[in-house]
Amino acid sequence: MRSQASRLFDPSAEQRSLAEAARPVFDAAGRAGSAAAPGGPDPAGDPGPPGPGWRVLGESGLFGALLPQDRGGLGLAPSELAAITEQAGRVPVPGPLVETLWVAVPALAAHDHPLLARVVDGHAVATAADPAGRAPDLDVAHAVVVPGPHGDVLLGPDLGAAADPVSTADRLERSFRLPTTAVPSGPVPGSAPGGAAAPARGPADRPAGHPLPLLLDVGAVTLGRLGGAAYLVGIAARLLEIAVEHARTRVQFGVPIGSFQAVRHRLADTHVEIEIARSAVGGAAVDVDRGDPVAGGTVTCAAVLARRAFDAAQRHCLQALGGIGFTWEHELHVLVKRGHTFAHRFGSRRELERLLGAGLLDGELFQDTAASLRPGPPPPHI
Amino acid sequence: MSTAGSRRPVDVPDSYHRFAGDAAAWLAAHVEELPDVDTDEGFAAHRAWERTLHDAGWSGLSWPREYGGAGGDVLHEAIFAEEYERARGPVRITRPALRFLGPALMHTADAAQRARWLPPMLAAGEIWCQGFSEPGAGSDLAAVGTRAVRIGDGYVVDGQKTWTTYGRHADRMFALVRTGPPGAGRHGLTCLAIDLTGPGVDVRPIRQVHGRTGFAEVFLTGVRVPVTDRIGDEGDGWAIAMRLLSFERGPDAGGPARSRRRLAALAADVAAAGPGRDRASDEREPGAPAADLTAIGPDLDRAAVEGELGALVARVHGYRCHTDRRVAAAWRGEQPGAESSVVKLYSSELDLDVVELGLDLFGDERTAEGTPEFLDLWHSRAGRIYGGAAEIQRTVVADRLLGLPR
Repeated sequence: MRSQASRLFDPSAEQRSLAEAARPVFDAAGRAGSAAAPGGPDPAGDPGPPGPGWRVLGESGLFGALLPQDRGGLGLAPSELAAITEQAGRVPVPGPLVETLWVAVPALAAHDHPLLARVVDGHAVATAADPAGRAPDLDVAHAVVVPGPHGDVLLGPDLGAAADPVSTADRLERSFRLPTTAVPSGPVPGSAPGGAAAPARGPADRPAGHPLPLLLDVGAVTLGRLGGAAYLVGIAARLLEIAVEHARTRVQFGVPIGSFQAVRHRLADTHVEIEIARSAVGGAAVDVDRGDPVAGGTVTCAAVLARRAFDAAQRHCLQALGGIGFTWEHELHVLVKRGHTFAHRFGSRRELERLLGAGLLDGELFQDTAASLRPGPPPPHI
Repeated sequence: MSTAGSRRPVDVPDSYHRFAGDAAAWLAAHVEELPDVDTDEGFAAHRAWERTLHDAGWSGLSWPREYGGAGGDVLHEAIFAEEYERARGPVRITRPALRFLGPALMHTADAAQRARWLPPMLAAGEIWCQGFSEPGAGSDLAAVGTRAVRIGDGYVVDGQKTWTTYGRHADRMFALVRTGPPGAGRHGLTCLAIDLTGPGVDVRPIRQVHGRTGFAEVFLTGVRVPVTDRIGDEGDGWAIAMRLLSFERGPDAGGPARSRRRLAALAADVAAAGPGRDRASDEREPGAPAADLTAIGPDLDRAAVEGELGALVARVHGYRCHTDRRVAAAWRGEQPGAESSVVKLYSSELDLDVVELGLDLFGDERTAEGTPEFLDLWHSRAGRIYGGAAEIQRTVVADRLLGLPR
């Protein structure tokens, strides 16, 4: 295990302002997106970006976050992109944002793919599937990254016709499942605990497509899972922000409801879960920065904690808002439904927890602690 | 693909990495099991161990050299705390002194007092305890009622302190007393350093649910305290107490290491007892309680247990990441504040959940009186109370971090 000194992480003032600077971009994309119906091909004849908000994001240059500057990107480290992705979760817009930023662009760059520039500027769509074969915007995507038992592959184009739409309550999501013949079979590393097979689909032969190197030394699943975790923390943080504002201003029994302990404690507990999840995302992102072999495990921890934070947030914040939280015009349901999508993409909480538990029992985790002088819990301090 | 751009990990000078290696090597060579700290013999052994640590330069790492410290910083403290837990070092009986009593004195005591008190405090020559809680002042600290009346060049103190950690063995108490009129809340409070070895002091150990006596009640009857043992000015007690608590709120890098150890110990027991494992190859120490999952049925759902353990893995890891982040912030110079309540809420619930999963899986025999798990169960459960009850911590979060109306 690395020592305390080598695990420290802390955003510098410059890096914090970077994340803050991204906020207006997401706000603008959100406004553009709400001005038009999400989804559907672009009438100008371009091959169907997910919506006008997507153009705004493309024009900002954000999609090239992980591309080196000498290749026209922003040259950000994954830990910096994690902070930005959290901001994105606060103002969700339609489109495969996490998949593009974290998986598709690094994959296209690894292949020097001709689509790269058009994906970065938002004129073409690429996406990424999770180990269960789910992916957003498959019908309009020119390329899709698919994790497989023998490594990640890049598929496309012309997947659209074969993609199976999946119904979802998420207003911002156009969800699909990859055609079974396109999905590599067998367990994807990091997708099923204890070597248990992932749901079998398709023939056992390897899929057509271009094999990818291990993206950023950690692979598509870990990158997608980390980006999704950061995004989910942003959704949870926004839910809490809305609930706190409501609790400050909503008066019942002659006082703001935020003065009632029953409300205060629920929101305090939510804050605690969000803060820990944010720290875990930050720590795991630093592991990815380094290409540290522990990143697969620490990203999975962060993903579990982001799901726990979202669970607490959607439960308690919806409660704090009372009836207004159940109305169509309030933004709360849009966030909650978006959160449900990301709480399951790249693994549900239950699946990821089991993955970690199996790792613990097999001695893959906490080796240093288990090998200490004597067994047993720590002695009491008092 | 390579990424450009600055990296978010904090660049730590090599000297700190060397320090970590030196600490680990020294601890590996010197740590040994001591008799139970809850006995007179055991406490004496722990006191001698503190002396050993001090003489080797490992105590008071962030304390100034003039008080016998090493003149280092918060990162040295954090590195050593983690290495110490990893090496399974004995309980630190100087913990209250090192973490908050000493630092509070550095900021509030006068020069003569600092020279007189701090070096022996650091070397465990004098054991200090904190005297804040009273029977009528628990969560509501401003209700402190112990009276101190100024007579001549000193005070006469009458009252009762309770839940006093190491009170049984302490030489001196950092006490919060009332010098102003009764019932004035935060006003009229003063801090005194009370000599517990003098007349009028009656220390009665409290027998706790786990049979141990780490706490004591301290009865003060006509105890004379010279004015030269007053900490700060009369009436400054509340501000000094809050200052002290702010040091207590600093990040504790040993906490996540202890939680890891708790979970690793449980996982080792589950792995040894679980399906598919050969019990004959079980390498537990002789006399250790047998781990037997059949206690809860032969058809134990391994997947469910894996899921529960996995959730704890994530939470323990999150606790550690959060502590790493806090250590970095403190090293940058940020003062610890209300966010320590976040850590307390999270870690105390986490530790309890780890212990209770062990109890669920292995049954009540696991926490039979005298086992390490028995102590751990009750100690972890108390974590929701000591250092500020969970309800108080939630109130702090709601007031100061969320800005909710009172």
